Amino acid sequence: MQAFIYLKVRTIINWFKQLKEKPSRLISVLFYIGVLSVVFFIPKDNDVDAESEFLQSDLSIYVISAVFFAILLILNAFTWHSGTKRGVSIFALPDTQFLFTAPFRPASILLYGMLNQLKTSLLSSIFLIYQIPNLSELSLSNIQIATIFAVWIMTIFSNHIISAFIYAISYKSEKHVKIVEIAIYAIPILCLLLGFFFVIKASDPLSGIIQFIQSKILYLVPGAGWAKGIADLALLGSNWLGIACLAVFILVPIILMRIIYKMDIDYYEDAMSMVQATPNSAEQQEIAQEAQRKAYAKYKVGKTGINKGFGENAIFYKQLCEYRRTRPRIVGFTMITLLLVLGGMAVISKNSESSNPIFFWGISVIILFFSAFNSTTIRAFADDQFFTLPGNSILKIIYSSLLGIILAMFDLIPAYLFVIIYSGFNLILLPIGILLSGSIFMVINSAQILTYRIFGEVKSTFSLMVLFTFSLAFCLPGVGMILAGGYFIFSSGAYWGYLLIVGGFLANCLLGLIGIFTGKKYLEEGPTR
Amino acid sequence: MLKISQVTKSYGNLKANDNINIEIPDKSVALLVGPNGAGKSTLLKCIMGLLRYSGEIEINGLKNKSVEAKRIMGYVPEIPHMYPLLTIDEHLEFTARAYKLDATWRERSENLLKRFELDDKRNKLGGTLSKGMQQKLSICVALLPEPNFILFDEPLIGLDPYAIKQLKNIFRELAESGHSLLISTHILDTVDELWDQVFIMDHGKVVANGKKTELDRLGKTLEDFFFDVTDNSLTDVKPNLAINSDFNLNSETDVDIVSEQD
Repeated sequence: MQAFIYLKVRTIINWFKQLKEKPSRLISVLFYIGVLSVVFFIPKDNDVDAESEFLQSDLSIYVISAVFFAILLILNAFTWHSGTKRGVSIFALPDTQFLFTAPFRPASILLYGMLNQLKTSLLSSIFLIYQIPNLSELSLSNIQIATIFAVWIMTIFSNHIISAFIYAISYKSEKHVKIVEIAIYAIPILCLLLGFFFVIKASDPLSGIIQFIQSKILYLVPGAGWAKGIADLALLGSNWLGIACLAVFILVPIILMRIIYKMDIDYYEDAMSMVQATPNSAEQQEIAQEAQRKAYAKYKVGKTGINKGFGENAIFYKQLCEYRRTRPRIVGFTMITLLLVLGGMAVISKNSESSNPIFFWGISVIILFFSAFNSTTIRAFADDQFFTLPGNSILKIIYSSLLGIILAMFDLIPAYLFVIIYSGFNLILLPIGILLSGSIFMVINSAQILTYRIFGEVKSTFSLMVLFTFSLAFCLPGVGMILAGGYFIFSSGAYWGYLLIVGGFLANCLLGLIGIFTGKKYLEEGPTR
Repeated sequence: MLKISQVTKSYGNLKANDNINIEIPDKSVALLVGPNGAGKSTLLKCIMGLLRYSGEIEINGLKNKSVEAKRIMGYVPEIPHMYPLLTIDEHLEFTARAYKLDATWRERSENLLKRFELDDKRNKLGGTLSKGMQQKLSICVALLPEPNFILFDEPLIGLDPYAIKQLKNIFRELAESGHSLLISTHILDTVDELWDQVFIMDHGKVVANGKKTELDRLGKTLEDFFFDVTDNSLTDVKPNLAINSDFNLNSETDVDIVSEQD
């Protein structure tokens, strides 16, 4: 244990020390903290209207508790499910050399690895602090808000121990994995069925839902129910069931830790194969090639067009070839998601006031924002060949980004077409919408290049968080102007709305150019890794 | 003593190690040689308990995957991987803490750092070390706990001539002080005249093994022996090698052909 603590503490100290030597990282950290701090400077709205009166009623406390419960229910299901697979993907290459060969019990290393993931979970949930103003407006005291956050952090902590336990009991066979998966997903499904039962039994659906969210039965739900019980202690006052939930919530991870520690777990091989992205021995190469052959054998690909590449655009054709070999189908997850979400919204909002083209565009931007992180540009930067290939740096960057942007715009076509036809909008909005979305991708591309320039990778938790923050901050001006412009055009027909849209588009292009020139400088200086 | 009994490691249909049986006595230096892809690194990983396999591996009577066995084993992997945010000194301190070493580790650490010319780089982070320096640090880390049995996987790759000389000296010192070494390599002069026993692997099997004393008696070098085994088919080499009970030439079915005397 002493060695693990030493390893963690020294890593953290050296990370901070490094910031002194790398001003660009320090600036990005300060920027990140600055963005997070904005929440504390948002003025409190003191206007009491009908809506806020409702929110300050007793019912609102139950609503908060229910929302908290629902979020944890989903979070727990996903985290526990990831335990069946991710138990072995939490280690880095140095761990395989230093931890796996050292005289530690495998269970201790697994627990260390799982708890090490806390940083990732906490950093990724740090955006929750944006909810502080909302919770304050609901008349929650600081102690009550602090309790909600404490329960959240405790849940993340215990989830990692539960994940380690799930891995330890299921890794040996697929059959065990299936049983565990069924058990994990049975919990939210049973909760949903219970909710339906309350709704059916009640005189009207609303009172059924209210009875359901006030029901003490929910405290029995493993994980989320116990967390709700503790949150209710703070929100609704002391009660025995809440205290029992607190006891269970604390005891279960401790008991599981003890069980894991006593188990004989042999997961090193899985962990090593997960971290060795590049097979480095002949045997591993053979295994990797076999896996690749099997994967590629599924797809019949004709001419991929790679022979068309010449000079810098060979990068584009190489990416296209790789893309077609691994994903030969045009229809993908993003395309289906966009179609379902935008299509569903178009059906729901037909003939209503919210049926505004800019509303649909805004929703599509949110979806695209989260799908943009698997970028072809970042993959190109991670390849040393990208730096050594002869050619114009600007063209190299443009060609490395092009495929990602084209594919993203391609994903939009079915959803936009459906919305335009179903809602009776002008067809000219299709190319305009796609063009505006493309400009957003240029901005996200810039954020990616800048983050890569600072960190030399976009894999670590912190670099990902900075990438997320940069992308968000870079997108805001352009998207804000386009949304505002669209709103004014479609609500009041104001001509200057068009100017705002053009301004937003140009702002995006300008930020895109900044990214290209940042990348050019990076390419010419060589990789920092 | 290291005892490997009927160890088989498969990846799907590919047998990376196929029914390996090896015994390496205490205080001896064994070589594991073979062409690329022969299964040497896989076998070392199996010995270190990093892979799942069928069969038994014991070190001094202890199961190789036990904490007690790990305490007396050292391992220098083929490709070193250092913690990018730990300095050279901190890697050694972490190892000392992990193995619960007594206070004398600092002195040993100083000696090792000096021998491998890392003493003036002790505050450099792992992420900033060159491949050669990482390999040197990897060796220092493996030697620091003074394990009884040390596995080296291609230890000379990436080292500069001075470090190679130092490592060869260390091999000699370790052998003289009664440590057991198993060195996997395809550089046949790795340990010059130091080795006691050699195992030649090919296609996942130990196709031949022998003792240095007998090779010397025959006036053959390790290189001759290696090429006799790997360049020719088994039947071709049998007449050349199967002349003494100390040379074992294993067939496809792993039946020892051994010697004419047998």
